[in-house]
Amino acid sequence: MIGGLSIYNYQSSMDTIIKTTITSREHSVAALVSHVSDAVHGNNYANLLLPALKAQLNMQGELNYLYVSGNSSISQHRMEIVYSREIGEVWRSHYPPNYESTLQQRLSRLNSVRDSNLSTPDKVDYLINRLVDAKSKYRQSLEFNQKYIKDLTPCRAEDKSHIDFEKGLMYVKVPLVNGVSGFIEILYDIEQINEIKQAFILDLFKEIVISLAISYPLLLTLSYRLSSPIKRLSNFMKQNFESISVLQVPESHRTDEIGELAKSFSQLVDKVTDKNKRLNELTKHDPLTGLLNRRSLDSSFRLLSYQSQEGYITCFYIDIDLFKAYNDHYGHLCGDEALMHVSKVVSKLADIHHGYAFRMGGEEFVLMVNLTSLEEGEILGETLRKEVKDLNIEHASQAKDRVLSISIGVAFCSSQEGEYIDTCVLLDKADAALYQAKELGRDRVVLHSEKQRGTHRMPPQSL
Amino acid sequence: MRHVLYSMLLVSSSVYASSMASFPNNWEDYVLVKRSIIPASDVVLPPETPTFIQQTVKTYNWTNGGKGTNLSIYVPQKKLEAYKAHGPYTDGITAVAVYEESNIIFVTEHLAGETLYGSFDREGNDISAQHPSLNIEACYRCHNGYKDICINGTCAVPIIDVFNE
Repeated sequence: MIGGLSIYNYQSSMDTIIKTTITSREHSVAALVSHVSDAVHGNNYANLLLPALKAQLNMQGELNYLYVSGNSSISQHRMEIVYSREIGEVWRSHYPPNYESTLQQRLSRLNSVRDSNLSTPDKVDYLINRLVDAKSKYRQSLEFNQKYIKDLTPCRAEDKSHIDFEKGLMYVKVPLVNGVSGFIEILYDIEQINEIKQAFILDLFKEIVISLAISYPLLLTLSYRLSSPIKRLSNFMKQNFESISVLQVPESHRTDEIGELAKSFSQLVDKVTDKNKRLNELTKHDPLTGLLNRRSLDSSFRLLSYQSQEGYITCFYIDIDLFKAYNDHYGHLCGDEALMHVSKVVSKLADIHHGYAFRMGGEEFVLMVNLTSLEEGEILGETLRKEVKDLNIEHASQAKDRVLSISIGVAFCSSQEGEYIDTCVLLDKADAALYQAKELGRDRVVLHSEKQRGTHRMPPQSL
Repeated sequence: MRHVLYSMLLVSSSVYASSMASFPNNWEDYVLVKRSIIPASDVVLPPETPTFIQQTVKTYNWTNGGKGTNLSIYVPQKKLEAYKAHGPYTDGITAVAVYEESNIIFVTEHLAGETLYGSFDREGNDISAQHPSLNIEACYRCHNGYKDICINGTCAVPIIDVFNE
């Protein structure tokens, strides 16, 4: 960018200098234009070949070549003169086709007069000298034309004043004035402009170097101060959201805008983590009872199996008896209340035995605990059944006690077994035992036994 | 001797030549063909004044102390017709231009078709060395220079005609 700006600045400045120089040259030719136009108008070579004009042109150091061409106003005679710095001369470059022969004829006439002695010799000699001089100038002009005339056709291709850096010259073309047709065309040396151009290029180079020297450390500092911290923060943000620790958010110690950004990100992480937790909780728990739902079964089972290497993982599959009838009779609101009461009992026992209580759906619950013996399982099952019954929730459809009761199927596996069997294996066994409990009349606890192929009836006992 | 004279002429003719035309003592017998004016040096010519006139006025408006002068042109009787046609002219005096108030008489003479000039006072003394504009090279520069106007060495445009428009 710095280079581009500098180059643009250089181009712009050079264009201005070139335009200004060309305009200045055209204006400087203005005085000459008037004098030359008058001379061309009257077909007056004498005025154009005066020593004063030659001296004036020689004094302009950068003027290399001048060419005047035009037609006289009255007779439309072609006029051309040339100036070349190479020889410091101005000469007439155009003569009529028969010029030399006409001169010769005039000389012959005068020689005849002199030979005839009919006139004053000094007059004749004077006139002869003038014609000899004119002839000499003519011959000299031819020689100069051959050696020093320049072809301006390439310059005229661009029909206006311009600079050609390749050829190292400035071409200025100015029309004659006062109704005279013709031009003055001048070639100037552009050594001065070349020097300016080189000075500009050197300045441009210095400008670029200095700008880079100043801007590079500045950019590095900015990069270190701004973009690197932002990049660190960005990379940090790309981590798995759940593995992000707000204590490790980079740049949060800063007091600038980047620090603000880091702090805002930390707060966001906190909020999202919190919401995720709550969402997790919601997905793992039953919204009505607050118990765990079946999604947590596997993980809870694994935890229980790791808790103790001895004892039994005991699974109680609980089902409220005739719950549909209860709902139909008392309504769903009462049904929900009943579910909540039962769940509290299950949850309490889970807490006492450091286990887990689940609502499996509808009116089914699961209690999973670690116990030391099968007998303990039997006792706990019975305790659970009795405590629910002791809630004395009226159940008009219960033919027997007219209170809400539950049926429980119980299944066991050793803690070692729990490490490699699926939860559903134990659950199926408990479910099978529950089925037996229902078959046997409900309101009872049935232990699952492989020997008895899934049932172990146990009469209700007071505890 | 002739060679020496010839050499001297060669030098003088190219630098600061004296009058070459002869002074006609009987010029007052010539026919007056034109009257004109060289304006005073403080007169501004109209912008459309021809360049030849401008140059003539610029060259000679110093005469008579810069106050200007009447100009009369006389032509010998025998050359009147030729003068009207701008030549060609036979040998001899062709025209005399008198700056009435300045004691300057310009003489134009022809020889073998070539023009000779001279600058004199009324007494016939050569005054070509008195001022650069009186030098005969000045005459040649102007008359030969403005070839479109000065035909055969004589000009036709009266200086002051422009004021009559």
